[in-house]
Amino acid sequence: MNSHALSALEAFDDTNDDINTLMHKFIVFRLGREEYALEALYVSEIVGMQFITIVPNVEEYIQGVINLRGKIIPVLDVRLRFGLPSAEYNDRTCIIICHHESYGTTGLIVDAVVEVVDINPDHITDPPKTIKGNQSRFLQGMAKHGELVRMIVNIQNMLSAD
Amino acid sequence: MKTSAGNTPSQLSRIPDMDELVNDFIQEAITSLEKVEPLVESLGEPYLQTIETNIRILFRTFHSIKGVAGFLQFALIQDLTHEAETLFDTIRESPTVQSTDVLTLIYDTIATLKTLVNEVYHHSAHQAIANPHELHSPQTQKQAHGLMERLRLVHGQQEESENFFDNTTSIEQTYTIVLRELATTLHILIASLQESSSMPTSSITDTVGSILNILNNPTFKALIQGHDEALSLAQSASVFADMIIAGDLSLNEQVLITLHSQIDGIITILSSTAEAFEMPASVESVMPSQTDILHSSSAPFQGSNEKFSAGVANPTEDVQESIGQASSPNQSQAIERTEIRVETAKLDKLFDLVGELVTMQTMALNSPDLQGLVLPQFRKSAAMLTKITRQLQSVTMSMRMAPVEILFAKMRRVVREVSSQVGKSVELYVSGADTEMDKNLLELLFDALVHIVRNAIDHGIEAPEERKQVGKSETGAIMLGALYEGNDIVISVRDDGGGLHREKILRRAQERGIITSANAHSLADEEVWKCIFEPGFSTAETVTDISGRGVGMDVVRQNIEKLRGQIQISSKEGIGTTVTLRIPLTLASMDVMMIRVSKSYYAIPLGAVRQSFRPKTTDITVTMDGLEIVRVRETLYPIIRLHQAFGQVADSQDLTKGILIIIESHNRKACLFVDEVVGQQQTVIKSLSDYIGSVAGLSGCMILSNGHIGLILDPDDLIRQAEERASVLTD
Repeated sequence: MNSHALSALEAFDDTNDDINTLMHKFIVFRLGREEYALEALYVSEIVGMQFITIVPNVEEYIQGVINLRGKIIPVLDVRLRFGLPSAEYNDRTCIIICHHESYGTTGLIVDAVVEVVDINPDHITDPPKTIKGNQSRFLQGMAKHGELVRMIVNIQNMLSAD
Repeated sequence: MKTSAGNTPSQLSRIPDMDELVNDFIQEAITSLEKVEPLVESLGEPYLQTIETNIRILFRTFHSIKGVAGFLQFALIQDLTHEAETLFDTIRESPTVQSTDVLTLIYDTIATLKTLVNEVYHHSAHQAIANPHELHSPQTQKQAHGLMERLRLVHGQQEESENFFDNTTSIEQTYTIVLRELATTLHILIASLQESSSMPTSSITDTVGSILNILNNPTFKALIQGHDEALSLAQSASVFADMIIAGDLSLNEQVLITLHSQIDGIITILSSTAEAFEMPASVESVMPSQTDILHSSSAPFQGSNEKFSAGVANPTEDVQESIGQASSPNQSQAIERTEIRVETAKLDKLFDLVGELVTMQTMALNSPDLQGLVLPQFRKSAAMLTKITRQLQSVTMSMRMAPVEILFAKMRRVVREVSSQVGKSVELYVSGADTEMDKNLLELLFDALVHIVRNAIDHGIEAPEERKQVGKSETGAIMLGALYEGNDIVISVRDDGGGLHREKILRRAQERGIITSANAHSLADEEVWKCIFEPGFSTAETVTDISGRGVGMDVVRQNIEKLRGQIQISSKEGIGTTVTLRIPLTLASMDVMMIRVSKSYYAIPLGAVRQSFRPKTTDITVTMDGLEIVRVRETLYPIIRLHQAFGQVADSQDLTKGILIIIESHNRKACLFVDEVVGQQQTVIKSLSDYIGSVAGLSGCMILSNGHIGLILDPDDLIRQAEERASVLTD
């Protein structure tokens, strides 16, 4: 695992104990220049890039499966899922392991994990409706963070089949 | 003769362990009922010794269900087990071969009990106790009451006939019954004593009421005639009980203890009398002594009821155990508990973990870090470790194993019932019943086996007259056999009937268009028999209840194939038919051939692999629409390029540079083109996760020794895809 993922994970672990504090905790990851936030509630761990076994005849964004300590976990390329151009995987690429009650355990491939943050729900605004195509369904809201705007991911729509 | 602790919903639900008690009861009841079910059949067989042993087990099982049901106030279960128990008791007293009617009655009782227990299960434990009346559906209630009626009828008859022949038995019996009755109520009383702080007065008065009932029972009164001491004790006890019920005496510890001591006294006297009838004296030892009661009852009154489950639930169990012993002098020691029950989920988890352990060990020991190093000590330890994990694996595996006896025993009933329905006489022979296989698989095999056995009796075995004519014994024979073959278990059902009619099957198959008349007569017998597995196929001229609707064998085949098994038929006209099921010992692991395409590794189930070879250019034909066909001897196979099917780039596009593998499924064959055959191995099958679901051409995945994931091919689906492609091209 690379150092970025590790530090993010440590920060995450410290705050892992109380579900109420998790409610407003977010894992921030990066795709290209943009930052996205994913509710920490769904995240069980963050690992570095793994050897992926390609599974044929499935949706393009499903890259395949990884073996995480004996568990078979399907992994999605979030770039492809969001309709963004794909990027080469490098040593900053991370897999965010999520658990969602409807979709089980999945891995999300992202360019990098940035940090774990608290976002006040009051600071979250609705996503703009004008994002091209239907991609706005992947967003749950926008959160201002200093100069930056972070996009909050709608995990349900991201994981569900189209 | 009711031992019911009363119908009032009690407040027992306030006790925290109650849910657990109910759950334990459900588990225990279902397990023990399933355990005794196979014993029923033996009651109809002319071996008195076996009948005696088995009826005792049945009795004990029902008795303990009754006891706990009584305690938990599942009145219907209690009453039904009670009636059945009375029947068992009469059989036990004078073991005789039981008629089929009685066997059916016992089977029905067991089935209804299971339904009743299941209904308890579907209520939450809390509800179950709070609303005992809404527990069971009206239908099952009716069923249960009907059964009780039938049971009463049967044991009534039996009791009568017994009285006629043997009077002493009946006196002994009455003693046993009365003693047992008193012992049970006594224990409920103890429970009330211990719990009187939390139990409503109503349930205590109920208990006292049932004591009063016994005391006023004419049989009881007759029994204690001549025992002055007992008589006076009984009189004062009934006065006491009367006053409690009437409310003249306030309910307190002292009153209950007095009542208890009186009943205890009666039991002591009666059981010493019982000795005169050579009744075991141990009934007495079952009764807790006065001091025990005083001791154990004082604590709850001080406000602590922690000991509830330990103090009350166990004594009830103990009483049942020991009473069972008391009334069966020959079997003096209790059945030793050699098993413990474990949740299946836990077992599965253990199984998974061991699988992971084995994989991780292989990974660790084959770690690239170790390559080229000379590590003699390490290698030695590693070898030991490997040995231990292998043992661990086989022990875990064996925990899921159960003998096929369980399955075969159930077939006895099927044979008996079906043969009497169709008016044939059939004897069942069994071999290899101790062969073990995955318990889950056993259960899944049940339906298939029933089907095959029914078919064998209905279609296979001829009518008695017919058998006589051809010089066979009038009684047909069905032979069930089980044996190991490699990693498979082979179960065969053989009958000595008329065998399959080739012409009949051919005619039918042609009518249904399964085979064309052109090739009909050149077909080998095996090919003809395979028609039987086609959907909707039946040669039976008349449709009976048992078989002939043709919905049978194709479903059987499907089920067997779901278990990755195979089904085969062989038959000789006039001699009989054999149906053979070949099933892997466990679904958890599978033998596979590992192949490589480009950088990916795939596994083909070894059962589907027929042959692998490197083709010569002359063997290959390409049709004008691009379909590639390879000729092996006289047969042509379509070629599936695996790299194309899975969107990969092969090492070489040239078929003669790679390997062709002939795979077969459902009698259809095709050739897979791959880069390399890597080897064979046994593997644990994993699912590709629910998220991905089922993928065309794949049936799952496995973890390779380097920790990567290999995909397991689904030969059936691949062949089907190839055929579809071919038909699209040829259309």
